[in-house]
Amino acid sequence: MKKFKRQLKTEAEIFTPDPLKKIKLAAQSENLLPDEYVNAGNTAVKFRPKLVGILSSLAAGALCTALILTFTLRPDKPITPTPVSLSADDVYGMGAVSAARLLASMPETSIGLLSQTDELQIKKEAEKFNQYFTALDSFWGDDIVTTATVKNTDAGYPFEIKMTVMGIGFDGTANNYTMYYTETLHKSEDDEDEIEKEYKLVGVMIIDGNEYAVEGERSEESEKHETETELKIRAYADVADRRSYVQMEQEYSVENGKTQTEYVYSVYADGKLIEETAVEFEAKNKNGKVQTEYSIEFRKGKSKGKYEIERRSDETAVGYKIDGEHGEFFIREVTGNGKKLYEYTFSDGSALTFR
Amino acid sequence: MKLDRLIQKFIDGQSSAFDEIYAQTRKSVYFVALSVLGDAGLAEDVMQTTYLRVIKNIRSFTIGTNASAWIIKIAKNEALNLKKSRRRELSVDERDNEHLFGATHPYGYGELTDLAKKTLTQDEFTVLMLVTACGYKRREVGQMLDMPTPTVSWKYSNAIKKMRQALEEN
Repeated sequence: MKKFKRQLKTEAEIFTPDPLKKIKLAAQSENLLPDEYVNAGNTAVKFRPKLVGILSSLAAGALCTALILTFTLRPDKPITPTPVSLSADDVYGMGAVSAARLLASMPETSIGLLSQTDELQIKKEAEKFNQYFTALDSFWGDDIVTTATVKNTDAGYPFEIKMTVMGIGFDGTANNYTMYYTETLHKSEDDEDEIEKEYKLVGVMIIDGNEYAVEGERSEESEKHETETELKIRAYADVADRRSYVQMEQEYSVENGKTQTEYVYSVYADGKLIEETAVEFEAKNKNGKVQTEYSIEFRKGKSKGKYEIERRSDETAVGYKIDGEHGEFFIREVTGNGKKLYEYTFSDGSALTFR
Repeated sequence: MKLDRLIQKFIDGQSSAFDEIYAQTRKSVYFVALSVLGDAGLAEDVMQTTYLRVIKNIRSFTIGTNASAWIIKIAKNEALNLKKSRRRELSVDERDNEHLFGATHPYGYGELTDLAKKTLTQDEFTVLMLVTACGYKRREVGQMLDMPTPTVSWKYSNAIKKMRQALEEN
């Protein structure tokens, strides 16, 4: 039966007509689409087919082991960059920590001097970049994030589960965060071949002694040994104001035949989407070692640009593209007045410091 | 990227977002039209009129609501209007069709799709194609077709059973 469904899907791919060009020309003739768009070539198309992923921890562990063995046994063989796969718990944990930290950093964090006459666009964007960089600064290790869940016995938190979210910080030290939550099955549909389930999560994330209410939704479609998952989690500064929050959602796309996983952060204020940013992790072979690299792309809001982040032994290199400007800057962790700060050094030799 | 965000981008002036809106929905639009009209050529015509109507009315779409359902409703209405205007019954039931099982329809449905068209009711065919070929969840299909999710599940189960039987017989 599974083969039959796959064949239907394949036939749909092959035989569905593709009158895009005719549609564009007809729309152009009715002045519904601009000439420059219709006359240009098609842009790269992303669509969201379902990504079939194996979520059992054994399978994920086998994948990591296979990847590591590939390098240790054949260190000279180049490996195509591969998307990094995280379990649903890991995504929840990373999403809750990073969304809450973004919320916490929304007020101004710059303590550096920023000249309004600076020519480099990047220096104007650096503060916003730093918000996301620091929100995710526990997840720049090669494993990105690991989570451990136990039944909650801590009084004062009326939730069923206690999750410890573990990451490696910028300086290589371990960072741990705690989330208390209850996840309940909201809907379940079962037929002979497939099971569809929807879960809702309610809880609280503790960051630097502050509590942030979190909510999330997860849907799973399981068919024998395969499971497809969609997941989103939101952090609220004030749970009474449900129109202002930061949400992280896991999204999949296919481009040039490659499947990619993105974590999309959406910032809502008074019910309006004011900012949208995508973060992507990719495992690459660097000198015979598997290393995770990251990209941040600002899609909506006042900030713009795409950033590729590469950790090095004593600093982090960030390649950027903003409008017509592209280049590189470097980030080092420094200490100021006993506090951890990030120093950004730009191509013109100037520097900015952020918390 | 989510469909309603793409629509917002299009409304904001990024015409290239239409490529992705089209890519994400073209199969579902096609199969909804095909289920109503039973003819691939006519279904392709409906694809064109559907997307023109989507572009014309895109500013009336409420961001944050179900964009797939909105587009599918337009497709279904376009298909029904075309069917009415042709003033004849176009049935998916093609048991009298001369095509042999295993042959490809001249417009190209594929063997199994052709069998599904011949075997299933219109609703069963639509639900089967939206779930298996287009990858929508049953809840999403229910929203697109204005059908309660349990009804979608029931029609889907029926479709699977009928297809299983048809495959065994053939």
